[in-house]
Amino acid sequence: MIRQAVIWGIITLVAYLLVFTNQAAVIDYTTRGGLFAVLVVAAALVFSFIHGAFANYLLEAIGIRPLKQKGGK
Amino acid sequence: MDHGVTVAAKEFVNLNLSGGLFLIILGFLGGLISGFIGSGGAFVLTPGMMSLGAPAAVAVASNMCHKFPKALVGAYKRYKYGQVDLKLGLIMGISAIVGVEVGVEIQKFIYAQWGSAGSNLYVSVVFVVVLVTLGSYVLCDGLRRMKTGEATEVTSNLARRVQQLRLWPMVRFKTADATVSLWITVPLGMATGMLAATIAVGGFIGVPGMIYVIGAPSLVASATELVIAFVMGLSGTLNWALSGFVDLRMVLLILLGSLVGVQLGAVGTTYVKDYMVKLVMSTVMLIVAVSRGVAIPTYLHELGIVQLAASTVGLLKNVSFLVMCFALALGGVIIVGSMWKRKRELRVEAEAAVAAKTT
Repeated sequence: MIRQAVIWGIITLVAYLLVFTNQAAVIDYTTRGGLFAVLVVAAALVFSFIHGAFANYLLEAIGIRPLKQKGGK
Repeated sequence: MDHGVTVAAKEFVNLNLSGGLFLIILGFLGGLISGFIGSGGAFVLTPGMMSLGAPAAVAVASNMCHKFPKALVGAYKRYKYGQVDLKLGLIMGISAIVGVEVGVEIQKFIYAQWGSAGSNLYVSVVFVVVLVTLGSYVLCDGLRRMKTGEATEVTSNLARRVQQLRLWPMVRFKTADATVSLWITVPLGMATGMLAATIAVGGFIGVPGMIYVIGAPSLVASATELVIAFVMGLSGTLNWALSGFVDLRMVLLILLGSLVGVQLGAVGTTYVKDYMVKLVMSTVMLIVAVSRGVAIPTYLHELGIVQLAASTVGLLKNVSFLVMCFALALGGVIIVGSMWKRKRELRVEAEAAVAAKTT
């Protein structure tokens, strides 16, 4: 878990650094509208996948795991 | 983070370190609440982004864009716990998109008639009326169930009657353990969308609706709400992004906190009894109602109905925003506190079991 948290953490960090060191370009492309809307949705999905994976492994690595699996009545 | 950018007529704020941290923390708290009760974390983000200088349209668009990835991650997590009724979520989510359009048309009409202050007043009154009515009901029910210590939920009388209504087409919802007519689920989804278009949180109708009208258990209702939020968020994001209003930087900063929060909240649901969802949801609803109630005099002032000093208007707006943040923080404390308490109980039980074995 710790190893996976570190790997996904590094990927997340690199992705965020790429965006925030190129803010002008990011804003330029993502606010053009029209077909560029797909870029916004795709970026949100990619970040949710990589940072979501990091957050998942991070929580598990620090011992926050589900207690029981339950659903209906 | 110091590049201020302007594209066409849209203003994009300078994001400094404190502004970035502010968004990450709001995102975390909002995510925590959403992961636990299915919704309810987003209402503070639009005013939060506007307080950093973002124009209202950019703040609303960016809030919408952070919602669908957060809901997706939360829904996936809770699906793994067997809490999501995908069919119910998709039917209500698609109905909610229609509801959003109706809600937006009502907003446009009010804006055209009474301007920005009239629109704000309408939103605040809806906030207070809906949240006080439903919040009080959910709180009473949650407290009653806490006192009786019910391990499993009893289907409400209304839901039982609704389930007996055999109006074609009937749909079986396996995880929610209910068979209900589309004539019930579609209007409920539309009401969720209308509320989302008005106060940014459709779940305050969607979750109680699924519990008390359809008869879904609280945990299933709150988990399924995440599917509805995903469908609505994706459709709303496409609408805003087609016109280029989404500030991806703010979205990513909010997600930095909210994707951790939403998964923590989702894990939290496996630690608590069902009524905790009701208690947290009603607590957040009632405090948010107070927050919006505090802001009502400022809109009455802008409409010229009452006269207030400029300093009083500023004070009321700040108090309103702080109370909203307090609602999120308190919800977060209750969730994490409940998890902590349960973990300790389990540790004590495990230690007692070991001690019993050795003696």
